[in-house]
Amino acid sequence: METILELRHVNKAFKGFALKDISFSLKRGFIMGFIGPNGAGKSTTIRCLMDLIHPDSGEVWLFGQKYTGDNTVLKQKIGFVYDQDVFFQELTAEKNKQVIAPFYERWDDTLFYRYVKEFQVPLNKKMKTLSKGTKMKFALAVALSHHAELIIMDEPTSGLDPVFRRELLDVLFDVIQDENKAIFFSTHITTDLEKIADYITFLLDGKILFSKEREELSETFRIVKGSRSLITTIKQADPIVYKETSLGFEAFMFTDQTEKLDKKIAFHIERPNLEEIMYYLVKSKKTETAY
Amino acid sequence: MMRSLMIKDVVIQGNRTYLVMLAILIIISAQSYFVDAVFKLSIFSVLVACVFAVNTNFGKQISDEQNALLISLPLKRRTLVTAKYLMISVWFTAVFVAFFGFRILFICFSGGAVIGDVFLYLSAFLIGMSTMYIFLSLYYFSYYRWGIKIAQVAAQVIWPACIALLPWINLNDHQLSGLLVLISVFAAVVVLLLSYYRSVRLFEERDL
Repeated sequence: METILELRHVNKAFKGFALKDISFSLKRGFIMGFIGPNGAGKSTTIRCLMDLIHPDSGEVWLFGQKYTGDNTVLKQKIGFVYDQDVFFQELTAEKNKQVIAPFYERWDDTLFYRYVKEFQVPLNKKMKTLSKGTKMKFALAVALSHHAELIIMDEPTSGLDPVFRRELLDVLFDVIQDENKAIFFSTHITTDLEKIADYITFLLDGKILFSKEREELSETFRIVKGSRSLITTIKQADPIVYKETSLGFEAFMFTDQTEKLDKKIAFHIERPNLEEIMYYLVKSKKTETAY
Repeated sequence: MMRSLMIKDVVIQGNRTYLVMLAILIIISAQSYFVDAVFKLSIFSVLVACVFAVNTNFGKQISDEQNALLISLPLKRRTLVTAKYLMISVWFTAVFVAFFGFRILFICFSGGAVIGDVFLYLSAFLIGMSTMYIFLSLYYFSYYRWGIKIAQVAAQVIWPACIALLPWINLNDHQLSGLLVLISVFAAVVVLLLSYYRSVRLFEERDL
């Protein structure tokens, strides 16, 4: 399967923050979730992907071509959703569509109005009067209406109610049935990713902590729980994160470490979900380690 | 693409701006201050056309987020800058024609005679257009150099100041000479080229 998106050793420094050696890739037919705490650099990375920010060094490749000064052909194939009010707020949704549509060679009005109807976006209202969720729905309708092959979304589910979030995931799932497409999206809501993401890329303090298959990731870590009497044993195993609780302790470790432990004593071992992985890794601050 | 960008500028202007400016044009056209004053009308056209150009690019509805939208579309940054500069002539021509149209209508309805020959009107048009290009070339450059906030604040100060100063500036049609037209056009071309190439470069390098 062809690589549709690739960042190679991208660096970008700002005052007080920097993206450091960002490298990951996404193939056609897959969904990649981009996670990390606030300020980790997710939006900055997406801005690099969208050519809004010029990396200090490194390369951005899309559809097998390197980003250069003229990326108009590549951008014809990208649908984007930002977590900001990028549309013209004084215009109605319909007027915004009229402004944007002519720039896309493969704009499909039928598809647009189908999504607008499905998402219940009022086209006759000014953008500034729409709720954040409705603006996001409109942005999504625009992103999906020009037969984009790569959909890039920055926090698309934030501000959406659970019902629409579920509907959105269904839409994305439908989109990805076309194996020629790929979806890259950042989010804080990790449960959404557990439903649909094939790959997870975790960014922390401007560095990639890991970029892995979701299944592989869930096999990488374990949460170990036990009583206070086992604290010394668990500490000797050098867990990534260890904390004492009212009932005993909780330790976040690599799976292979837990397998060694398991033979000696009966610990309670759980498979962490994405939120727990994110939480413990941020807590550990072991940013120098590549997982 | 260029055409779509220029249409975008017309669409985002908003009906209220068009109505207010139309009212101003009609009221001003009827003023005795402008009797037999083609030069004055031309310079006033510049001020009105500047409102359209500035509002569409730096109005309260515009921020860097809209630039993020435009850059994310399949467009070159250079094209975005070029469209801005091209629209200067569109706004000026539209306002100039409307202004003089209303003025001639008022003269006809009041039973007067339309004065001046083709050279007078053409000179007024070229000097007005040149003035607009010089003014906005400097203004657009300042935007690309220092950002939208500076441009928005500057617009709120400069435009009222120009309106206030206009009646004090001695403009009469005898000043409209071929030499003045040549100097204006030459100055406009020089300022425009310098501003345009520098603006393109700044915008191509800018992070949003």
